Amino acid sequence: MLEFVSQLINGLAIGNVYALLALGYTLVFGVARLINFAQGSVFMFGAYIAWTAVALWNLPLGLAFVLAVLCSALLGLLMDAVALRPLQKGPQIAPLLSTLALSIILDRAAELIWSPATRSFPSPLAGTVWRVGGAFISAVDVVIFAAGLLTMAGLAWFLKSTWTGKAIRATAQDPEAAQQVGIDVARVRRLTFGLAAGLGGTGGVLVGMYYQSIFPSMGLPYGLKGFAAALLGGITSTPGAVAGGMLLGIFESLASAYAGTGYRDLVAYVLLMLVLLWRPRGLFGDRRLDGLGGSQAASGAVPGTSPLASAAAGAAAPRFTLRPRAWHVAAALALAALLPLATRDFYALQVAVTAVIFGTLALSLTLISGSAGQISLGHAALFGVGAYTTAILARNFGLPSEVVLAASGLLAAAAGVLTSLPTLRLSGHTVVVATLAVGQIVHLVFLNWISVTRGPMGIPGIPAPEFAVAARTPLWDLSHHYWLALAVLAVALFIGRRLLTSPMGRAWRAIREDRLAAQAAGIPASRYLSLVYGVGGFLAGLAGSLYAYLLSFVSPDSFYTDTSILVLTMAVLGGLGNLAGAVIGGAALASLPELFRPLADYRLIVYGLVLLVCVRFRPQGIGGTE
Amino acid sequence: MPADLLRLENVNVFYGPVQALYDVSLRVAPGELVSVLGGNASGKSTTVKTVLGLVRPQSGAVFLERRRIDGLAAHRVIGLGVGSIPEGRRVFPEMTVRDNLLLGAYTRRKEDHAADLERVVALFPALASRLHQAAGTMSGGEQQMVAMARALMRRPKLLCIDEPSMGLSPLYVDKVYDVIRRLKEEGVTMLMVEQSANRALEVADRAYVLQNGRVVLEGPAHELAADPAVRRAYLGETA
Amino acid sequence: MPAQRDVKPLIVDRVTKRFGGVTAVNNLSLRVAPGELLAIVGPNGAGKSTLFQLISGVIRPDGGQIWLGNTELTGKSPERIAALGVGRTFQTSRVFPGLTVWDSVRVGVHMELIGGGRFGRRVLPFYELAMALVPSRRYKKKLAELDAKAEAALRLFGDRLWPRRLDPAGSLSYANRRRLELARALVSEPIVLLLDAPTAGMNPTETAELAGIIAELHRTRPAMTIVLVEHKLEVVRDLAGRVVVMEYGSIIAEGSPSEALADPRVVEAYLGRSRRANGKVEPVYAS
Repeated sequence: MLEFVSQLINGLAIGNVYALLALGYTLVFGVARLINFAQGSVFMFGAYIAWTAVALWNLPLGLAFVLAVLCSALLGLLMDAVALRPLQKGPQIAPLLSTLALSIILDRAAELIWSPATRSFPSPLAGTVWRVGGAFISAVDVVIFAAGLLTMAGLAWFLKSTWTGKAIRATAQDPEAAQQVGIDVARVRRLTFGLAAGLGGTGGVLVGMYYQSIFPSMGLPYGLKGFAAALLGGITSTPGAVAGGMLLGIFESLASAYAGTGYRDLVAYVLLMLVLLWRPRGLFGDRRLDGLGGSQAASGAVPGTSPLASAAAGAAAPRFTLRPRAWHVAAALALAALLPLATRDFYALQVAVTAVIFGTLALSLTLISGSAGQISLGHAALFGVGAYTTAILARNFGLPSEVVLAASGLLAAAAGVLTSLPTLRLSGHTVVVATLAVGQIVHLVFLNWISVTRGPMGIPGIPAPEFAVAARTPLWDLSHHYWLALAVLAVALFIGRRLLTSPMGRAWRAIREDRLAAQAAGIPASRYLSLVYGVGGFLAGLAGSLYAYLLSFVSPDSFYTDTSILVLTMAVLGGLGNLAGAVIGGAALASLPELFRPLADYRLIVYGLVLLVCVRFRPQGIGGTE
Repeated sequence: MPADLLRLENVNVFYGPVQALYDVSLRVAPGELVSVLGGNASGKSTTVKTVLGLVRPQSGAVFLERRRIDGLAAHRVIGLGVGSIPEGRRVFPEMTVRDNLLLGAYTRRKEDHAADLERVVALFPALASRLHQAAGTMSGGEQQMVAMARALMRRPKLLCIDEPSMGLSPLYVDKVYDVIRRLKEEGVTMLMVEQSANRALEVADRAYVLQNGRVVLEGPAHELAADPAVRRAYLGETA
Repeated sequence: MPAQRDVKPLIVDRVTKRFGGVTAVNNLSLRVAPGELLAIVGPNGAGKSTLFQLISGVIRPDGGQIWLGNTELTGKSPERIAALGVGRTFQTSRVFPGLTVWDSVRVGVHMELIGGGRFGRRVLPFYELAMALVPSRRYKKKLAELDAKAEAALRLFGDRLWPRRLDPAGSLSYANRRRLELARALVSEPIVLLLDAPTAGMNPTETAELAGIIAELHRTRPAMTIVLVEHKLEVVRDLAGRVVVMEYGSIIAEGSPSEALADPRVVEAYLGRSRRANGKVEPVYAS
């Protein structure tokens, strides 16, 4: 019982932080109808500002707190002005990509400014602990509690009782009506971005105080949890965001206490998944959860249009779309096959194989996210299923590579079909969360199913590929890996192209463009969505298999959400649904950080900037949307 | 001739490739109730949206008093003294009736508006007991009352009304027109878009009839009420 | 064309739909006979489009049932209802903006390809995958047949759509989008065709042209039931065999076009009623 109460207190404390982050997502989504994936980075940034003020400038904690919140808010305004407002008239996928780019830039900037190492966050309150009826309550718990609740109460009062707060709510509920009572909705939007970022920064300082340590990459896991909490609550509801955050915090703490720390996140994401299945619009949700895509008419039983719909048409239709003919592709592949003859440089070839593998992976995702319009943040899971299958079958069972490749593809395809099941009832942003949850869950399975995956240690010593048809000669040489990867890419291109030009591809694109109209025209959407996840999974599994062979080692780290985000970035950058574009995007983004190596520490910042510029000036991606 | 409160001069509006208004000119004198009539998709709603700054004309001009307002954002137009009762009511569904009404006075938030709240509640007594109800849970007719009261909180010098009788039961249409009549007696200048021509012509001073984005008829309301051409514009009867 | 045409009446039985506090369709009953061309008219907000959404399964009624012959449609998914033979267009003309015109129409024949509903047995997804990768001759022949149907549907509109078949549907004019939607609905050879404001946004010439096409369809496909929501009453007069007038979610009049549209309540519904001092309701234009 005591343990239970202590864990409850823990859960509420961390739940407070999730709630603050979730409120940020909720406010921004309500007013601007977009998900700011850089919210986690703002959170990290807030923590570092406070750390700097306390540890370097010796300011009192309270003052540091205020400074951190103000700086975070300013950062929010800046992000909106630089990366989001210019995209307002662009395709609706563009803000997703630009906020991801922002988070890359911010995270790397933090590493440069404050070093990648973990910093201990000085907390004058540490060590003060009270015993209340047997349970332990620390002063930090109390402060987090008080600060979190005060902030939320203040926000609730602000939204409910001030003119500006009412203007924010009015704009979220009906922007056109808000304009007609004289509200400057553009100003409300700026204000909301500042406010949301301020809340994120507040959360960062609280987490710094709670765990007494901060590190530059802390933004991603917390950002994702905050997002999950917002969706749990039903993304447009502020009480929902608070409830979602608290619930997530409590369940997590109880899980890590009673089932082990490894299950902490697993429980959180399984909970999220269950809530989405039970109430696709979240606990306090409403029809606007359909978000960017949901049209008025479709807000009933049927999920609406994908946020990616009509990215191909509309005002910003690109002048140029990459549509190579079959012989162009064949020629390009043949030319690429000559690379090992030109260089024997180990490093260059290693980069080249990785580029080809990620090209294939991006192609597999562009079918799901591009052609069928299902934005997936869980694609690394399918990639990982392929890699782990290869690791186990090749290493433990010594099977020939034909069998290994086929099994990796098929198992990943099955995983893909399973992934699709919870998403069938969902649309818009809820698909993103469901796939995010699947990705997290699979990653945690890799991490915790130690008897099969060896957990965090990973599986080393995967033998080189050996084909039965080639008398099982091991392909040690990197150039062999390269040609094998190219061959698989060629197969993937063939499959992708054939499917996209077939009635099946047409059905996928029709569902993306207007799911409701497609269904009214007789397309069984669920069936085609499962199919596209299956095909995408198959190709991702092949890529995963090659990846495992290449590194001769797999570990859960390679298949986390950051990989999913990277692959999505590749697909979007290439032009969604554009196969050749995806391959180019995948190969480019996989090798760019290597090309930028002379820039040393700045390379990922440059990478982020390149992404931002691409989104700004070519929101349909390099190849153009198909 | 007194200075017009509102004047549209040769306004052309496009939605993408489709032209919605062709050379529409229109004027509203102070204290007048001018009605814009027409069947479905005749361009009458576009006319009022152009005045409100929700739609930008490709050519032509809109003047409020002597000031040119086409191209201004909607909140600026409202700030200059225009009130709007939008088509389909557009109340803020998850806010209380009271907050809905108060938001009507948003542009005058630094002034005292307690008296205004009392005034509009007196005009719509049914709202008095429901100030704390969420507006989205009310019936269509009640929502129309909220939307009208909200616009009056603005103390507008020009009130734009878009299809006040749309989708309302006859009882509520009566109530809506009673209020419009009272406002007219109080001297409020109104530009009203309405499909229900008979109703509109009973209260209006003058009216314009739109068909396919063009003004096909204009004149004093009592003259138009007797003109069979109005009926043709609506019912598509061949003469 | 399927071997034998299904002939089924469309029955709407005491259907109600509310949105928040607003009742959009109020205990409405309607029977449309096979092969009939019925027009539904009424002022804005009368519930006409909501009725279409209910029939096609886009939204579910709060009460009542909808039947096509002996098959209940209530609660079925839109694709199921489409496969059972209800084709429709949308008030806001929902084409697939990113698909070519040609592909958009071919979406309409898809259910025949995969054998949904009345088109015979369901085809396994694996078979479909295999055929997409390595099509058999039979499959290719089937595709060619369906393409021919799609072509015929596009050519129905003369050179309005066919020469533009490789353009994205999103680049079409409003009028052409409406034509494209109609073509998409027609290729599936529906038993009941629901047309929601098919001439909206069209000029008088285009309107007359489309009305001509609908009349032609009614003549050449006598078994197909057409239900038309239309604001242009001259079109209704020309086309409809029967007119139903809706207001406040209920039917206030019905009959032949000349009867229904002359009904004083209808004139009132469109032009608004006027009030006299004694409170009695009299239309200004009582003729």
